[in-house]
Amino acid sequence: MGRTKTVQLRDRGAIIRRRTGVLFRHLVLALWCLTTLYPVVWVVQNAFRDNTQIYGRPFALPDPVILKNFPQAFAAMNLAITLTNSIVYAAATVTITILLSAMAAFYLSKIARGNLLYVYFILGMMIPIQAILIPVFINMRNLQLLNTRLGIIIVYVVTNLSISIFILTGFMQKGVPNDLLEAAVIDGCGPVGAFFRVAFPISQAGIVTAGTLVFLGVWNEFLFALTMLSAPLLRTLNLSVYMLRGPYSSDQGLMASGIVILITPAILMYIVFQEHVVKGLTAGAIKG
Amino acid sequence: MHILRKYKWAILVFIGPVFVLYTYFIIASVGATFYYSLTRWDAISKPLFVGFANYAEAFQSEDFAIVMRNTLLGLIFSLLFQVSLGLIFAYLIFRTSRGFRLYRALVFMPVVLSQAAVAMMFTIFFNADIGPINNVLRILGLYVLTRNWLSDKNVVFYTVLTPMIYQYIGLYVVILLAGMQSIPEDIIESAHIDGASSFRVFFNIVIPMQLDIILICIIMITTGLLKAFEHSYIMTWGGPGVRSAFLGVYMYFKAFMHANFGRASTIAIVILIAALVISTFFRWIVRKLNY
Repeated sequence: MGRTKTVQLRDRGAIIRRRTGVLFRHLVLALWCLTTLYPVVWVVQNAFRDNTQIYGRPFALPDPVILKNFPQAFAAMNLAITLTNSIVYAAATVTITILLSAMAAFYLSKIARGNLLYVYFILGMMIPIQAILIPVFINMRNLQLLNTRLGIIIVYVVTNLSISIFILTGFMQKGVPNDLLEAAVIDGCGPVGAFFRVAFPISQAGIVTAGTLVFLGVWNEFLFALTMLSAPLLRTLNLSVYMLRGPYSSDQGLMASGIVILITPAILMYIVFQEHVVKGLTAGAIKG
Repeated sequence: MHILRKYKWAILVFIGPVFVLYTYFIIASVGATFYYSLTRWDAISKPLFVGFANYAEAFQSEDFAIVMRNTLLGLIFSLLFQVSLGLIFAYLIFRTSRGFRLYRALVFMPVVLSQAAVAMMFTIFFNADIGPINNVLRILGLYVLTRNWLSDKNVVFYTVLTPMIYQYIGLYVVILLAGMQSIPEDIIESAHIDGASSFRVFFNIVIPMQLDIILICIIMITTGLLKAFEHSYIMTWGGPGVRSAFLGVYMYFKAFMHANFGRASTIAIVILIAALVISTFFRWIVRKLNY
């Protein structure tokens, strides 16, 4: 009798200890999440305030809600043009990169003997962008492709090839069954048919992972846009938000709404394709 | 797969275009950068071959020394904060069942944002007149601690480093978390049954079993810092002088502001070699650990 009682007591102690442990963990994590999100929340709330509100009470909610920042930012950033540019560059880069790297990945995972070619393509993941910046700039100048849509799209495609070949080769090795390809060949498909009819459609999940990664990469790209696109009509949204800093640096609300416009599509993409986005952005860590 | 190997022309169709683009724009460019690093060149006239003079000059220059110091110091702080906080928060999320996915999603969020946008946010944050940092200090009466965060040469480096560290902690949390999830459950369970506290499990089981993933995080942090650009460029232009510049920013200025493409290429090669040496070295250790 006495013995069961002490056991129960000890259990209760353990339960209480475990409960406080759980509570403590949630408290720390919730605090950390708030800290992480606060800069973003603050910018969003500034987008709906004017300078007097922001200067006067930096942390207060909008009162009253100011909406004029957005139309002003649209005009200042030339939104109709820069948004179109960003969408065009991202869409074209994603389409071309995915097609090219899926084809390469198909060959590397299903046809190639040995992995020499694979290693050659993956090497690009270890090369920092600065190591190619000047020659690419000079090449594009010589090809008369500076300040052109085609030029920047080519640059974005080639700088994204390695990582998407890496993701898609890894995916196809496991995700595309050999039996299925064999059946397709027996039914009369050549390699091109086997790729377009079997491997490509089956690799949808890998394609979405690589595609979201490339999209975010282009959407957020800064250095090449800065060096290659000096013509205002070709600028990206990312670049035009940065350029608000000069002439509009005293208008905090306007700058904030520019930032909000820029980050909204990226956050939406993250919400919709969360697993894919996380997988893509952490792909470099897997497999060493 | 043998059945497709009989089509010899397949390599031309599937690899050909990618091979040409990749070789011409990436691999050949690295070679070209190395060649330019051996020349004196303004990108207009013909490059003048000078051997390793650019390297000798760079290593004697005071600015380069400051930039190297910034990069090394930045690396030490990034490793300290991102690895330790990454491990702690990954473990806290790992040990949580309710809210697991929500925490993971929220912590990762800044990683998807444009670095330029984050740099702009923190520019406003650290603004000496209206930024909330100085405002809070004033409200607390800590006037002595207020600074011109974006121009005071003694603090500007830390100002720029803050968003760099902030933005990517979540990336390492998620990577380390994935690693922790791959630890066989029974190992941790039996440790708990044997009466090991969470702290002991963390230090004696989780960290030793995560060493390879921690090393991969170290590689990613190092290569990330070596090519860091936006935060420093946007918040302070690397200044005053080069006080808050990193190698990536310094290289850009040498080329596109000072038209010294030879010296800029030298910096680019320093970045490349550092990145390659560090990642090869740590990958070699990872391989040693795994076998």
